[in-house]
Amino acid sequence: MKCFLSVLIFSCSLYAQTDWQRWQKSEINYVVKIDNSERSYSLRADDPFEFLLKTSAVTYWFFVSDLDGDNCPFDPSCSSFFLAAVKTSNIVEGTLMFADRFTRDFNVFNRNDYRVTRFGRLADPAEKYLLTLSPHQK
Amino acid sequence: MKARWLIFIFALFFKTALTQTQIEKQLAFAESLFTQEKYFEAVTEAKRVSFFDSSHQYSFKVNRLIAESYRQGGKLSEAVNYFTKAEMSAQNSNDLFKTKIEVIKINIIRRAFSLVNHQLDELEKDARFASDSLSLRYWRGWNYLFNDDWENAAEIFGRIDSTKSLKNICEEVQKKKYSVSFAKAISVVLPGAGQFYTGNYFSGVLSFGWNALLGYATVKAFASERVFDGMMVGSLLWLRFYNGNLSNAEKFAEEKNGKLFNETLEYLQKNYQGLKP
Amino acid sequence: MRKIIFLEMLFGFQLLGFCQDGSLFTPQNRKAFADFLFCEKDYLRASDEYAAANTTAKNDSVTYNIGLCFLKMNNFEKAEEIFLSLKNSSLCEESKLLLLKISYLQNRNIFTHADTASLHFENPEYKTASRKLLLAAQIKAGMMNRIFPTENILEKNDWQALYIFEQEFFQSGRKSPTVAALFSAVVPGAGKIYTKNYGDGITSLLVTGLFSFLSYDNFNANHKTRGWIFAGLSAFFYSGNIYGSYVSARNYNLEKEEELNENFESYLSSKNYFIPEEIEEKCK
Repeated sequence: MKCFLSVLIFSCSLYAQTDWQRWQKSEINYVVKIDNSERSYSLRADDPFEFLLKTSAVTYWFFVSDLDGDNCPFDPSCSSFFLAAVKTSNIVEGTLMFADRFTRDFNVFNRNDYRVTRFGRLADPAEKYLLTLSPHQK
Repeated sequence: MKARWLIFIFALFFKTALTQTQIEKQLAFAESLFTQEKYFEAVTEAKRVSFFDSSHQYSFKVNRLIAESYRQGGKLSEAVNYFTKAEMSAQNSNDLFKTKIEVIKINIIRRAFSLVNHQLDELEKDARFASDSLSLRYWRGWNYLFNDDWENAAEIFGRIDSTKSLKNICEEVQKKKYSVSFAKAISVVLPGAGQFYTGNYFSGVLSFGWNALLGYATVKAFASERVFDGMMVGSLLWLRFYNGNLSNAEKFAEEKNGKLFNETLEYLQKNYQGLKP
Repeated sequence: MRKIIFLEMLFGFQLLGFCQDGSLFTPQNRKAFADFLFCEKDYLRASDEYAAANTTAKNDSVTYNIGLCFLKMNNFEKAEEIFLSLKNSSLCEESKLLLLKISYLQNRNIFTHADTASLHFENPEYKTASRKLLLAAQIKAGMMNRIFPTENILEKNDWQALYIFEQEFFQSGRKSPTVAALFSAVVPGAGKIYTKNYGDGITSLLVTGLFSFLSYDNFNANHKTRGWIFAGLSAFFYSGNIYGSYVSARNYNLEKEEELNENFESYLSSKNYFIPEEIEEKCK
């Protein structure tokens, strides 16, 4: 009983943190939506080159990748990584980043330097491999 | 001498009575804030009551009020915490039972299936709540419902007269659900069949096409005694698409079932008029 | 006897009078409730109650407690505003010390921006605390090579711990990205092994080697198309391996720095940033 009380008192002080900001009424929702898809099939692009890349990627996803199962251990997948890499840098740097990522994908020995996401994949965002990092990314 | 003592006791009594009136007024103020949906402020004023209530006479009411406020604010962990504190200061078994049920309702929403079952089992064993077995069965039904176990939920609601509508809903959902194991089994025999079963026709056709093409390529390679080519195509390509077909059959069936589950919960939340979590 | 009875009736009515005026919202009651909330770590509510208690007659210690509430909630801007207002009060020294802590936590260069007034303390304990915090800031900024002058303000264990941190901040076994890239240019994967990514390094070597071999083999067998395809793939993975090694060394250094910063902050936090606990903790 003493142990239970001390846990309760300790948890009270933890719970007080939730009241460090004023809160309002909030409707409880029975439905919990979990969206684990990292792919956007939208063809919206800022320039023709990006449109071409996206079209190729979406075609690849639709006719090949969505049919051969979930084989990529990383998040985002290699194709999404390539798109993100080219978008945030340029085609040359993006291709080099993709080549490096593809090599790491072949690694069957040990992969223990990655954070595991809630869906069990290894977090490996493209921005981590840019040549020039912003202060935020550092 | 007697007069002095009388005066002293009189003054002390009056002071205590006045303080109690102040606390009651303060509690009423906190409750009025709750009614006005000012839940954060209601918690503050309820905590004030708790602080000045040195005899803990109002502990139960205060903790219940704070717990209800947190629940209205969507802060379920804090609500459970204060409901638990209210349990400890409950003055009769009726209050205790009602408070325990509030905790169970929140845990049902949080999908703590095993915990809720355990809590319901404990209440069923308690002789003080022997007359509340119907209520406990009712909440067990909801627990199964939130755990996507429609069969057991239908069976439980079927045993309670007033919940025939819930029983019918559960049976309907159970009928509409896709069988994941069946989808996988037919995909083993015929690639793409599982996707057809779940209504993903285009994916089924593509999956069948890839498996047929790569299967043909593999067999042809072996038939032409190009064993290495046959092994490469078979293991790196055909097997990959075959496994993809199985995982897609499973994934689509689960997605459809998940969508049905969410739609039913949304319907119950918005339209069901009876007691719900 | 009558006098005694009369006096005691007077006392009784005074009590009555007190009860009628003593509601739960008197400044004293609000302060008592605020202290309770502070000890419960319910700092926002505590700050509201302290502020309400302060409306009738401003009290420096109550204002100080409001500042503490905001400091505990990591609302440094508001905490700073409050402690600045106490610079000429009886709690001036405590406020100055906490202002120094806030500046450190907000990653400001406290040793360049701090003027002599803000570093001058009458209380010897606070003076020592400020010098220790300044030292920590200097170590973090890599401004120290030796810390002899401050050895006498620290206990031996603290001195040793800070000396180790200082050494690690200064040099710490960092990897050169250029060297990693050069290693990988000579032997594919060597750069990754240099940055302790052994699995990736061996994979790089195997993959580049495999495609190079396949290219060579196909050229030998006069399959020129296949030869060029495998040569292209080999070049693709080879260049990716060099780029990856360069970035891997850069990321290695960043991760090391982050780990070091975390350990340093954890150490300082365990020492409460050298601030005496009694000026921040009001609960027992």
